[in-house]
Amino acid sequence: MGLAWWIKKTYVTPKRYFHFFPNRNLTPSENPSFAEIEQLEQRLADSTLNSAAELAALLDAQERKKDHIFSNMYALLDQCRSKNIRVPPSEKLLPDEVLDLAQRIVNIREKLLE
Amino acid sequence: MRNTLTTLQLLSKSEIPEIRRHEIGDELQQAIQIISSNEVGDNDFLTNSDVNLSSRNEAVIAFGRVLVDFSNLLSEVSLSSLSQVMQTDYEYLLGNSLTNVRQNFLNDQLKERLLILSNQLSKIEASLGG
Repeated sequence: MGLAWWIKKTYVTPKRYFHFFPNRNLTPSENPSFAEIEQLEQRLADSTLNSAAELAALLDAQERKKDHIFSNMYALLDQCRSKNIRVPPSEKLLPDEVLDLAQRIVNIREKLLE
Repeated sequence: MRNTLTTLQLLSKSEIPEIRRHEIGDELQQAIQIISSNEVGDNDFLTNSDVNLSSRNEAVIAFGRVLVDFSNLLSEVSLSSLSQVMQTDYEYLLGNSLTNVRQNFLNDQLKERLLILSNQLSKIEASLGG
């Protein structure tokens, strides 16, 4: 069973999912603790059942962690802002290998949500 | 020859008065300094490529770890690439030679991490049925 009932299916492209430059809509997000994630992982590792709700809870926590990483990145970028400097789009800054991996991750996420 | 990838609002230094070139150069140096002083570099790497993925639960656990590792890597590469482009712009603005300026957006450590993540994603893809 997929996780679409538990996870909102709003991010469809690597650009949105990984908050590529420029993104002016990213709000600071809460950072889940390692203890919380470890507990969720342990519960899944110990379970022989395939509980979509528990899988979704772990994925949600890891996605909050992801968003927290990128909100830190934007907080740093805000300190560099100037009227003379513009930040090129991530697609131009990132090597192809990185862009390819971003696409693969989004594809796997889609598969998990199916 | 100048790289076309730039952080400057005005593309050619001939459009920028001499006095403003130094002002913009200072802003670039300040931004480079901010990024380099916040380089994390040694984030915990969570992906364990030795583990077998024999169930969907294990695949999701592995996926979550790859997601966090990749997000750290993506953030690091984005900022360091931006910093390198700013450095090139700075040299250009000041009329310095660009022949010795090399942009290397992926160092060996990052390449190694990317390879581990790519291999782990292949295992997850196989575990989820292609």
